Amino acid sequence: MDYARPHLNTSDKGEPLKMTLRENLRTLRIAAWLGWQVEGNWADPLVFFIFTLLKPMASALILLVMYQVIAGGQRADFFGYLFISNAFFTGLVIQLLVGLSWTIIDDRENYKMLKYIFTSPARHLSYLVGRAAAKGAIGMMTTLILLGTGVAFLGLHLDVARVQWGWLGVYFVLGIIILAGMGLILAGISLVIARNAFAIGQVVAGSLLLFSGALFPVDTLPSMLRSASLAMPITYWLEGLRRALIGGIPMTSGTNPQPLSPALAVYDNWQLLLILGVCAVVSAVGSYLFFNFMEHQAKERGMIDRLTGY
Amino acid sequence: MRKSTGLELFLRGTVARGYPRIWGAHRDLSWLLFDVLIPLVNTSAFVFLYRALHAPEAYIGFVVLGGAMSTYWLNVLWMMASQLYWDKQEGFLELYTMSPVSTMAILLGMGVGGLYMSTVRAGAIAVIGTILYGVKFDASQWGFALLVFLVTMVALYGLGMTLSSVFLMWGREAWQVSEALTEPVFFLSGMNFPLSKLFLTIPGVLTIFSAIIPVSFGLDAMRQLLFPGQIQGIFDPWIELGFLAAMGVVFVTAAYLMLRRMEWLAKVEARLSLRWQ
Repeated sequence: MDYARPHLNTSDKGEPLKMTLRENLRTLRIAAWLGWQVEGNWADPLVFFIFTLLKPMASALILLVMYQVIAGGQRADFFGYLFISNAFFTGLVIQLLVGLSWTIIDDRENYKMLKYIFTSPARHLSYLVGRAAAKGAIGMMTTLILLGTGVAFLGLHLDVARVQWGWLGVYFVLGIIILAGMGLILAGISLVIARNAFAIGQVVAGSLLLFSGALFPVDTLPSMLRSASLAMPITYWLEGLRRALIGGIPMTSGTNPQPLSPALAVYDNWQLLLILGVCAVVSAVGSYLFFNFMEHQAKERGMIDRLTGY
Repeated sequence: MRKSTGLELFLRGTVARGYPRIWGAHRDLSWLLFDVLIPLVNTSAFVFLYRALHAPEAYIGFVVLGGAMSTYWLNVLWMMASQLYWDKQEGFLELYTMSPVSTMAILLGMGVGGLYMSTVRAGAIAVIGTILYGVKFDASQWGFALLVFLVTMVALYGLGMTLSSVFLMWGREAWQVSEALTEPVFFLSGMNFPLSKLFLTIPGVLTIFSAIIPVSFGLDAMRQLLFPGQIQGIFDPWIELGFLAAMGVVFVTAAYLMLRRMEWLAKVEARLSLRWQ
């Protein structure tokens, strides 16, 4: 009997679409706020800011020294390639991929709150997307500060007049959808495995660091690995972002400039858009279906409140 | 039942804490896949970056050795320094404190167990990295290199013990501090490039921070010994060995003193059983 149960606790079946949407947005908003509190309320804002920046800044400095040691500042083209990709990779890819799977483990094992979230009216998928939004915001801040520091102090050349803002916006949004989808898939896997769940995000992020051309043109990889690299949407996302920020295909400097990555230079912006658009749709739909399937599996196996001590 | 006291109790405490780490590593080998894969993939990314920059082949060896040594720092940070925070979350810290065993013995057990796990991990990275990327080591001074490695480990795990006494007082910031210390130490210890190049790049005050991380001089000395003539070290390996030995003594002594002090403070401020703060 419908009147015997509060409508917020019912399943989506039979619920008006407007109410479903409203409840999802409400969950998303509260989850984003909660995510921000979890990430940031352990310290005052200045300390939090410093700690948030230390890791990505150090990773950028590692790359800077590696570049200086070998190139001695002679290959500004390569430095731009390296620094821009790393800023987006460190800020957003790691935050969203590692962060979302970690959210499941943290809520389940550390705070022991996952079971309460599942027994509340909160929409689970919206809850995770909300948590991802908080991580994405922190990641975005990191990326912007890294790019700003690169331009101000580290010799990164970015001409604001040449930035293709439209492409930058489109690529950025599509990439975030793809990354959030991948994060949800990893979160779904984390729901049903006990051991090593904490490492899944790191393995995937680490693999992407190697395969996505974040640190070097994919052409440097052996042919088999290059094929794997060209099968990954993040490779195209980073290329799109580099092009949008630099104002064209990244080229070698000198009298006879060549594309830094010939394998990616064969795609124009519209082709990149098509690839990323298709990947974003597949990622959004696929991650939705996959997460729901994994959630069902986790419930069937009684894993929502399982504590493993990992 | 005969009661253990003194050194026997200390050693039994050490063995008891080290046992689950060593034995647990054999019971479920899945950790090996993840723990080798993550640093190996990261190391490979840096190898290809050097290749893209057309770096001399010796640099590939530097990165592989750095990748292997990075596992020890990660172990010290996450499974030594912040371990007491996890133990507090799980309720073990109260049990340690109530038992007659010294906390130093517990930490030493953690260190020995962690050293074993990290060595398996580092060995796998070094072997796989060497085969994959064709690294050529000069083994003529392997005994000296092994001595440097062992002294580095004493200093490094001594530092881990010291840090764990500080982490004893902390709540959630322990996690954040560990997160924040990972990459900066990779940078300051020259995991991916020669330390001498770093010292030419960074301000003088940062070189002091770099020098007190045992991995820095340990890695620099080992690179000089395993890649002779291909790297300019900060000091002669013997001098660096002397620094490392001194650091080992200082850190272990500091750990002993600080642990007593911090344990007392944690009791006074009722932090030993305080969770989720």
